Amino acid sequence: MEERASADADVEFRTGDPVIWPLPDFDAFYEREFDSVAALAFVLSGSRLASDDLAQEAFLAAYRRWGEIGRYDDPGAWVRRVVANRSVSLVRRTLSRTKALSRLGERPEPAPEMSPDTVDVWRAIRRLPKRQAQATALYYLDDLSLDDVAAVLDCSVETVRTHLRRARKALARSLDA
Amino acid sequence: MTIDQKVRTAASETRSAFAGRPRPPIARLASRAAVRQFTAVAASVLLVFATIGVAAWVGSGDGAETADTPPVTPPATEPVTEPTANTVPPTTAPPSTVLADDGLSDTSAIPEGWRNDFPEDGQFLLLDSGIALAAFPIPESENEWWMSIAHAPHFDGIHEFGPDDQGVALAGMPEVLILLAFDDEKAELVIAGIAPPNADRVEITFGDATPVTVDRVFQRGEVGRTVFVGSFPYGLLLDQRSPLPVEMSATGVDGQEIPTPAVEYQGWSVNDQYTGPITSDLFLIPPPLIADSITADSLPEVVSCQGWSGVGNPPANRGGEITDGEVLPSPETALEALVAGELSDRWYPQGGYIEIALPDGTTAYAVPFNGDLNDGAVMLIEVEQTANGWTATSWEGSGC
Repeated sequence: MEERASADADVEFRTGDPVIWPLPDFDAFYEREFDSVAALAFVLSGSRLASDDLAQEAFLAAYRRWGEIGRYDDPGAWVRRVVANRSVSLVRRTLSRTKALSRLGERPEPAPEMSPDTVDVWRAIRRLPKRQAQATALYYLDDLSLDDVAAVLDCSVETVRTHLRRARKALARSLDA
Repeated sequence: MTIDQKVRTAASETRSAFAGRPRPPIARLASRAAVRQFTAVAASVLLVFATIGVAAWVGSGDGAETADTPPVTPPATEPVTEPTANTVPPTTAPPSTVLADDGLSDTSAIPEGWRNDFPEDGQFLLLDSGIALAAFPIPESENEWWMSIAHAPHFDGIHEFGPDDQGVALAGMPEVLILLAFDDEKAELVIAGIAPPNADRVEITFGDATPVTVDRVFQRGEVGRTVFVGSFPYGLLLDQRSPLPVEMSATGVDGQEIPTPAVEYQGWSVNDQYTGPITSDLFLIPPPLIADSITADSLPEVVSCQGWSGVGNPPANRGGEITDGEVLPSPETALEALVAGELSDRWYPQGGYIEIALPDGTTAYAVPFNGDLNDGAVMLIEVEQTANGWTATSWEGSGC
């Protein structure tokens, strides 16, 4: 029986009939991925207020092109790349703003419920070079494999490994200091 | 605990903190996308305005996700180029109330087809600065309206605000603040706020963020400077709807890593920050050329460019003798001629100089750093009297 199914499949393939993959449901994708993408935005941007916006913008970008992105092997990787890039960009802007606000005595934005140790860890990670910070967040926070991190960052696995090794070394210096 | 364990613990705690939080329903995203499509059409029409001379500024360009979004070939049905249109949802009164009495609306210039294409109950406002505003109700919502803005060739991005974002309350009238957010490399965000008459401040809220307050609301024709306070994730430029020169001050880029070497930023320090070339190209510093006159025993120190912390080397102060200054009847005219000249190797602020009379009879002009000459100057120009008149003889700038 299994052999016949396999043979049928071969016949179908040889006839050249188009194989139409069903488009994944965006709603389900959004529901499944939003929390982790927003968390990624937070740890890389350091801004609780901006993290949801960053995540929403990334999902909105995916939504608008869902006909294409939805057919990717991992649409989540695409969204994460958007967030990773934009979050790091935001850090620069946020630093500027924070400087201005501190001069004016503005209260800082609220942080999520996290222990001081966790806040320190992410702060230290944000101080890493961009790619190291992105690789570390994706690897640890999103629990992605090295292959998946490489796919998000569009680099080789060996490069990811190097980023992580250097990141750990730098974090050991900063967190243990 | 090893570093690996520390980060894993932080990751676990963070995942828990973000798990199951309320999120915008997916319909909101769909709504935003639909509105974005609409504003694309809207700004396309407004682009026509510009070509017929109705609106001087109309933007065009790629979408907001150009810089950081992985390249994806858009479907054939989607516009490849998105125009500059930005949306802010008014929160209270329908915009018809706001726009009707403004006195600046000129719907006669709107092409008939555009009016027909506009959703039912949509309203227009063409500002005398060439900025075009359009407001229309959000489908399936009784009290939420969108405001679209299209203008300015220097905005090649697009930004929109969804229903989660709040615009300035539209109750009252009539002044429009245009807040232009400044990204690292380009200005790409426009926010419109309409303040009540004679208001001393205006407040803008984005989602659950701390409201951004503007401590001064400009009246029409007024020139000045204001300060934004609040949690706003972008540097800001401030525009004022006015036919007069518009003061623009920008918070500049800052941070640990920047894609652009500091030396590529030109201009002069504004508000302890930096004015990039885009800003100096786009916006004028308001008159007067000479803001004040004082006497002093010595010249102020020209502050050094601060650069970005930990990144590169800030450009050193620049300056030297001026040998090509015109000889003119007064110190002021000598300064005026100097700063108005087009020079490839240096660039002078176009206004805001403090005239300093020194004991030896010479005169200097200084643009204060941070608005206070006691903090130093970002530009210092000396003029001296010759047999035939006054001429600029030396200059020094902060290098930023």
